Amino acid sequence: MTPENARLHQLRGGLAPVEVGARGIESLARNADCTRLRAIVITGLTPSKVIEHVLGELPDAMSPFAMTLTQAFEKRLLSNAGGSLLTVYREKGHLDPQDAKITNVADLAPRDTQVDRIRRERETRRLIELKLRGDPAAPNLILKPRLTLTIVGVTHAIELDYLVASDREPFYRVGVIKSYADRVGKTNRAHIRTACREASVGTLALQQLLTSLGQPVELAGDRIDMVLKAPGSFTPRLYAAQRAESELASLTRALAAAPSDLDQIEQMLPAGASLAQPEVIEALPNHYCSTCKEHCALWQHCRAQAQAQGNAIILGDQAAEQLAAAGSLNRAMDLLNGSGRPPDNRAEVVLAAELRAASTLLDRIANG
Amino acid sequence: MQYRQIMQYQCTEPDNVSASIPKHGIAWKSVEDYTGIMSHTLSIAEKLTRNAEKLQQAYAGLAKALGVGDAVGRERAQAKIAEYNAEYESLAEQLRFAELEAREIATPRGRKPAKPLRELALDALDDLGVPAPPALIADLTAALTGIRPSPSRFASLRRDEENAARRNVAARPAWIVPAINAAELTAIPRLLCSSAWSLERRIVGSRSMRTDHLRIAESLARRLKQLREAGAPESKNIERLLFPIARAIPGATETGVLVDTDKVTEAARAELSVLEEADRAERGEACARFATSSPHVRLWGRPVLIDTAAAARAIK
Repeated sequence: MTPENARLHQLRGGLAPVEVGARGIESLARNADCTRLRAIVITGLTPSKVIEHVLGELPDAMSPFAMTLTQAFEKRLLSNAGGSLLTVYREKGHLDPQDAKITNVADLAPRDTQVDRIRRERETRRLIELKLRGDPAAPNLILKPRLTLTIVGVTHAIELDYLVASDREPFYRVGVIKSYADRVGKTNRAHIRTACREASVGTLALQQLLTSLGQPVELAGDRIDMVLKAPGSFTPRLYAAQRAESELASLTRALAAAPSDLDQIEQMLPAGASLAQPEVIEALPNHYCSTCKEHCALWQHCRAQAQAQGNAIILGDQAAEQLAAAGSLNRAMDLLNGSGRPPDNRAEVVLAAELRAASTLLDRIANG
Repeated sequence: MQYRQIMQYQCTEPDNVSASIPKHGIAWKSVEDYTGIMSHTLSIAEKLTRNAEKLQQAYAGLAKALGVGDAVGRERAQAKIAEYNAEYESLAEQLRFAELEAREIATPRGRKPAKPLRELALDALDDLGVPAPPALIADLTAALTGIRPSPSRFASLRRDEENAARRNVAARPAWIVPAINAAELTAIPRLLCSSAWSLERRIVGSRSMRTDHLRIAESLARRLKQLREAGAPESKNIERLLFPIARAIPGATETGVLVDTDKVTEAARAELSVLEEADRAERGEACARFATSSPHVRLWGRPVLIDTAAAARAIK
């Protein structure tokens, strides 16, 4: 066990680590200011696991309809030797008829055991090395590759949907399969950003692998591929080589702060305390925002804490921004009613005037 | 008149009952057959009893003839013993078959013990002709026999086969073995094949996933064509199985049109012609590297080496 692993083991307080995966690591970048989420993910736990094993509650389960849809779409693309995926790439001209080398890493070691997991990692690395050597046997499509991402000295495994490269290209791009309905310009932007960030976690892992092999990081690039579903059918729609540099940058920033966070978390906890204790979880500072419910199972706890503190964020991002000068809902109410201490500064004076004007307008609309 | 109608209802009741018995219960016809066969087995048993009595009498006659030194009587007794023994053999066989038949009919139709899983898998693999995943083997078995073995059972089957072959590799003509990875010559547990196949056929190279996919499409298209020509109802099942496979081959299918087997074969062959040579060369090369390996390694692949340093770095 590495020294970092021993520290993380101590922080988890006996809870077994879980594979946070690309989705877990991606969630760090979504709310980079949330110390609670970072502490949980960096130590190898997930908010769902904390809810279940530490707080003793039932975590939010993914909708069975959504889960079935996602699994069915992924199966449709990856089954039959990845035939559907290969066809989509060929139709768009990204792969030639000779680019038919496909490897499914999960076929080699399918079980969810430590031995098989390591074997999948090793096989993925071997296949990537083939490509770097320019070996003609290097696959064009690597299905279900397993890469590792080192954070605070320990490796977190991530299993991606696929890696793709034609024989002409020097290196692989990360591809994600999402069952979101593709409505072209009207596709939910948050969904697209999530998919890009998840793929970017894979790109970061590829960058780390290239560094360890003494290869230039630029080979991994900042482009990702995304396959969405046509509305009302399972027809795949490919968006190849999408630029994801901002997602990659936000992830890099979030992870760059991680080593100091481990020290910070250790210092924040009392001696001998661990994340397996509910009071320790509650004491870790959080940063609740309206998007938390999209990715974090702890959002209800954090919202309740924000409400108890009178944090304006519970009214939404826009209200939080407008009431920022007051600092809390109680102070905003004081400014509106003219109660409590007088405005401390110019910003509070302006806010008090705006609140009173809005209240008068509301009163006129409501009462005539 | 009324009485006759009631009698008719009573007479027709068994037929109505048999029609109303649920699908998964024991059909009325089967019960009738079962009782018929039961009476048949009883009569064989009676015959066997009588045969045993006759044998006893013949042995008594033999003992008597031997006691008095009657050579003619001894020969007659010996001939009778031989005759009754032959009759006994025949009756015993008849009884065994009748009992087996009775047991089969007594089993509800949906749960009738079919061929063992390994036999079903070997049949499906021989149909496909290339390494295949358990799900496809199960789907093909279901399409042709109506019985779908659970794909999750194939992992334990493969392990059982390996253990049995370790004890005596010659015990069975064919084993279910994993495909072999051409690069490392290790097993690919999720792809199964028959040990009766040549080593080259069991090896999976970098292009083999695609070439095997094309060969599967070709063999299913051939099977579908045969079934359609014979007007077999299974053709619908095979068509359903072939469609997603053929859809992943450019030019093999058209939207809203039934699967054209000739078109599928043509498209698969056209793509195979581009890939086959390189694939065969890679498999051949892997075969050559396997030349000095033991028979067991040639069937189940080389043992896997684990990177313990990576295991130490992993989060735990």
